[in-house]
Amino acid sequence: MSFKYTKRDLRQANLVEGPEFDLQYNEYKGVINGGLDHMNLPSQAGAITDAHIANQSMMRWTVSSNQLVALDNEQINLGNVYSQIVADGGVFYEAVTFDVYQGQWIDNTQAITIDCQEGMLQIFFNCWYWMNWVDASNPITGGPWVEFRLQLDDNTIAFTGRNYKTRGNCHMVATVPVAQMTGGRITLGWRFPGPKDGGAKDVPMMWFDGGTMFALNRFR
Amino acid sequence: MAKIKNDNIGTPGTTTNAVSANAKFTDIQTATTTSLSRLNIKAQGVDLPNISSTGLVQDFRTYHNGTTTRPWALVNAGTTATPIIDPGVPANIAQIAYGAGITLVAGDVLRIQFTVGLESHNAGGAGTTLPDLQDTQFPIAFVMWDITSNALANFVPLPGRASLGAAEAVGNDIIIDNHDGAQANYMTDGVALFSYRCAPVTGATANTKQVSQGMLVYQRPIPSPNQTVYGVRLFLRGRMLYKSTGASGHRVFEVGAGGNITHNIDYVHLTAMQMRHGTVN
Repeated sequence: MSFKYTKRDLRQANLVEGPEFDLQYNEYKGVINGGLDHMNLPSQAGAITDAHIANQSMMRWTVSSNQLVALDNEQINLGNVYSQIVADGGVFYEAVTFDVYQGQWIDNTQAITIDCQEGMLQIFFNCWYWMNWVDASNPITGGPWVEFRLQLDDNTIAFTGRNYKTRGNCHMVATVPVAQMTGGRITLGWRFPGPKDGGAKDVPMMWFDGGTMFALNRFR
Repeated sequence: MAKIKNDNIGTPGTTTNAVSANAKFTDIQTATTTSLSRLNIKAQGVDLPNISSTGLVQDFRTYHNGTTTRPWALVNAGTTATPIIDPGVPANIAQIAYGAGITLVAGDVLRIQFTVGLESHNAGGAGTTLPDLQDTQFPIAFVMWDITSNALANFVPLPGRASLGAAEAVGNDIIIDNHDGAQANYMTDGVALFSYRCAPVTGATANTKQVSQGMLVYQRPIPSPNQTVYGVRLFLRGRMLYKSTGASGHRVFEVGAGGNITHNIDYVHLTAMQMRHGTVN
């Protein structure tokens, strides 16, 4: 620490006065109360250790599907409002159909929130998806695809290209600078093509599930 | 920590005694010994050399086996899950072995990420292009952990995750999600899917040429006892179908019938990181 206080010794008659003591004490107080940096902390031998750092000192994080609360932290999926069950030959497919979706960006109602300090916010997202490949998205006229995006407080911070493989995973990572904020809301958006003319509208088209979002705020 | 305050020791013209002065510095000593936190540290103020042990406990493994003897996984007619093994060195399995184990305390996060490049497979026979319709089969890759012993002989799903590793008779459903009820044991985060659809080639195999990534972030619930983890292993399973033989609203995988399928895997990257920051606010 660069500041050095004047050592007092009563026996040497170097008596301290209250105000003088206060001034020097306040120098320390100011440092400890928010001014610590690499200039007044030791490095290597004698460095601060985990025991010196209070829990959650340097970062915050939040996790979807962490099961801390059974249903509030459910894994992220396409959403029940788009879910349709279609029977076909004695089995049942459940996915979004064109009866309820016509092709546009949909931002998922599920979201995670995080209280951020000024610094960087790193967001991970991963899910698996399943697409049908039937007449509504005719391969001759383009074939199926699905696209995802991540949004922080309704601002797009990452998006994928079009995924044409009909079974696969979406994996996105974004690192963005953030200001101090309370309740930063991170959501997932998705879209795929609307139905072609004459295409069946009651065919299961796409589903994604197993969505995990992990947000890490580093602000030291 | 709480801000240090200075209730002034003396008024102008007076002196103070050593007891009072020492008490003030005792406050600072206490603060700097156990309670440093983000409130005390300037933004961007502390570099790694200032910290004698990191705040993160982390681990990292990469499994990669070049191009001559690729890792592979044999799916036995869809009834079991298979670890990804180096055919040249059978003991070389795509996994992270923690030896004596790592301890997850309440609030800890274990973040597992993996990438699997599926190079080729022999489903459908030589020169066959599988259709890619709703009832087309596909393989999945997923992780399980061993919390029994470092013998790594008891891999089980992480809490709340679907039983993708369980043996099932052909034609049985494996519930992967139950959106209309409690989701406790059907989660599928950390599952990677592949499509068997590919261009026809000559020979016994078909080019899959697909890379999928999975991520499973497990946070140890609060409160809960410590959990020792001895290992994390990647498994491959097929032939799965996205459909249900039950008339419920559950999404399920059905185990398909058929012969064994060999999957040649180009590379596997498996990463697991344990993170700890103590009590969650």
